[in-house]
Amino acid sequence: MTSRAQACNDPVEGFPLLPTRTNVEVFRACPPFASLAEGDLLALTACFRGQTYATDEPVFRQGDAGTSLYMVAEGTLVASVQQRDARSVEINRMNATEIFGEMALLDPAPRSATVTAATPSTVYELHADGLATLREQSPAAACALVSLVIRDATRRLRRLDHWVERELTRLAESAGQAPTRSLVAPHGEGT
Amino acid sequence: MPGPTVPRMQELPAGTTFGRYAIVRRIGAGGMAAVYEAQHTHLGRRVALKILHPSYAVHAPSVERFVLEANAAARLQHPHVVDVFDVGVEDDVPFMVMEYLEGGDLGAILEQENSLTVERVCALMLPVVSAVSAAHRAGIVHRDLKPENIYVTLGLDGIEHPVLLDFGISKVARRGGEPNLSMAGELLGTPYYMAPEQIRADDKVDARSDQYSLGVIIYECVTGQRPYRAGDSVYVLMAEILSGQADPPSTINRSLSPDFEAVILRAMNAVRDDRFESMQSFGRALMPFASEATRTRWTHEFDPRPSEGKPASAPAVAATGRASRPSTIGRRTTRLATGAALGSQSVSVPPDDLRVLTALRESSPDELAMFALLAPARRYPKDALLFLQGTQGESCFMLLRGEVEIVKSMSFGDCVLNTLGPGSVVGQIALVDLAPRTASVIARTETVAIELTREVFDKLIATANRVALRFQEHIAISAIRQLRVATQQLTALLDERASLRARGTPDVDPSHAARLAYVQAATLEWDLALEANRRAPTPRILKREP
Repeated sequence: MTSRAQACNDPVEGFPLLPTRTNVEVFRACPPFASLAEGDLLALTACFRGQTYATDEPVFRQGDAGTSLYMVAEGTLVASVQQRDARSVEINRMNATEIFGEMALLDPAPRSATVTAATPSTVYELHADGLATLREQSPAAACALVSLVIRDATRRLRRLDHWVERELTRLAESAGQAPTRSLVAPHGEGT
Repeated sequence: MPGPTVPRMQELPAGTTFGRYAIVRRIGAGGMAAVYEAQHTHLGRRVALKILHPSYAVHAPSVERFVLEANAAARLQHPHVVDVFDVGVEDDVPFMVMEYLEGGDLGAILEQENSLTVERVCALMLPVVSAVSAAHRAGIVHRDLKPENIYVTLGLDGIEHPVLLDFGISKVARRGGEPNLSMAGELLGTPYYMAPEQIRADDKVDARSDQYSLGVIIYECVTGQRPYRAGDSVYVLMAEILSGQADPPSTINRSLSPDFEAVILRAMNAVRDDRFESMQSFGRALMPFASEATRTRWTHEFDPRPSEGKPASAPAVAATGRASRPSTIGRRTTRLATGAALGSQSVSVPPDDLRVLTALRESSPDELAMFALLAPARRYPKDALLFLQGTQGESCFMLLRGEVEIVKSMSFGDCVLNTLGPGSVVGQIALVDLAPRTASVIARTETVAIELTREVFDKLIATANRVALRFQEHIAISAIRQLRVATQQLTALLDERASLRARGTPDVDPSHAARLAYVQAATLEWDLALEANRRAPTPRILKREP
């Protein structure tokens, strides 16, 4: 099944989100936006568009051009990565108020995973154009969004750093080397 | 008969006359000066003659520091501070005449005896605490207290008599905001005994820094070991000091009482505010552990007063089994203060110069002026440490002039990952993510940079400042790109391992490949310059372990 993102990368696809109490509350329930003022939440809501997906329908596929951020309003979605042997591995599940695909919003690049609806789902999408509007109308909301992207990227980066180190250790061990003493200053937890 | 005139050479031979003094022998030499036993040619009095090395005699800051030492010591009249009789210039070479002491320094005693009893340590250190306390009352912070600067002579009564030496890098409180020598941009002090604030920010050094150094000396006296003793790299040593994670002395000397250990750990607490409030309080805390004779001698100065008899405490020890913890609870890291680099100085730059930074390129003059006001530029001397790997950062550095090196310490040595110049920003992730720095940044040349602290950044963000928002997006984009590169790198590593496994016995040295890969990964990780036209980094290994 072709993803709509690939079929039509048009930011006007989907339905506009009216700044209703119900819609605003979905955003307020999302921790990065919880502390925004009412006016900023309304501006944020107005910059998103909504889209519904049937079970197994892809939101986007690995390799698609990406320029949007998504938030789950309803339902459950699955992120999976296709490996070189063509096997697909599930890497994450997203439920209501969770955000995904955020990096492409600021730095467009091919999607690194496929996201598919596991149940009938409603997803809110913010395209790069919507972010430009948001910057003008609510700098505070734009700032909250960018902070979210940074936090997520740095968290993943640190996790990746650990994996790299682990791989290096394995490589060194396979050469029969004694563990080498670290010259690095004591590190904090979870870094 | 007068001896030959003073030759311009490093060591003066015996018999040489220097002004009114005849050289007997050299008794010590440091980086900047040599000390000789000498005799007054008319009075016959034996003295210690300290002479600034001729090559420093033409270096105005060195001369000024030398004179400062003489003046500082001369201002102090204390039985446990070396007496200065004379100071002057002979044949363009500054000199200082001090009392001649017979004995040896505490460093030599420790080398010979390894460790000392608690009572002996108290007998030696209470006089030193008294001397340092007198210096503090005179507005002088010594800043280089170490065993070698505590000379121990034997009194007529056979009792050891310590004398404090070397106020060469002391900081004298000045009026009128004159530039202080401490801003000269040099690494002043002996790293092993340096307080964390001396490593972080020279202008924050105060009397409590001396207390820290004395705490370290006492630690060494009772254990025979320095609390921080990394020998591979001065940066690693400094990182250890900043971490405040020394082993409690009782883990080395099990006979130490918990109360005495608490006194040591409180004095050398990485958090300055958690140390004793004064040298007087420190001295009073040591008194209960001194012999009766020592207590009798020092009761007049360190008489315990109930109101100030706050018991020494080291709450972190119980919780962690380690020495003092920094203020960032729950993390084994230390905050770096604003103006983290040693010896940096405020510098005024034209607002237009800020346009070298991408985030500020399109800013209005008003925005630039406001930014310059909130985040002033500083000049960092060559080799200044902007921040240290493993320490918790709370600021980023935006480079306006000069070049910095990104140095990552790894298991096989220190490696220069990249060199960045004007327009680059380093350490920006720290503005949004509280975590230790993943590499050190050192000024390769004299560098001018804006240090944007998290506090200022948050304020700017809170007001939805346009510059801050632009900068925030730059941070996000750099983090995303960093992540993508790291992902590619990890994929390459996994492939490499799979390939080695498939081949059975690897025909390449995998550890070598791994190291190269890691260097490359780390390089890319740190290639965070926000400029489009940046040079491809070339990793350079600084040193290897033997």
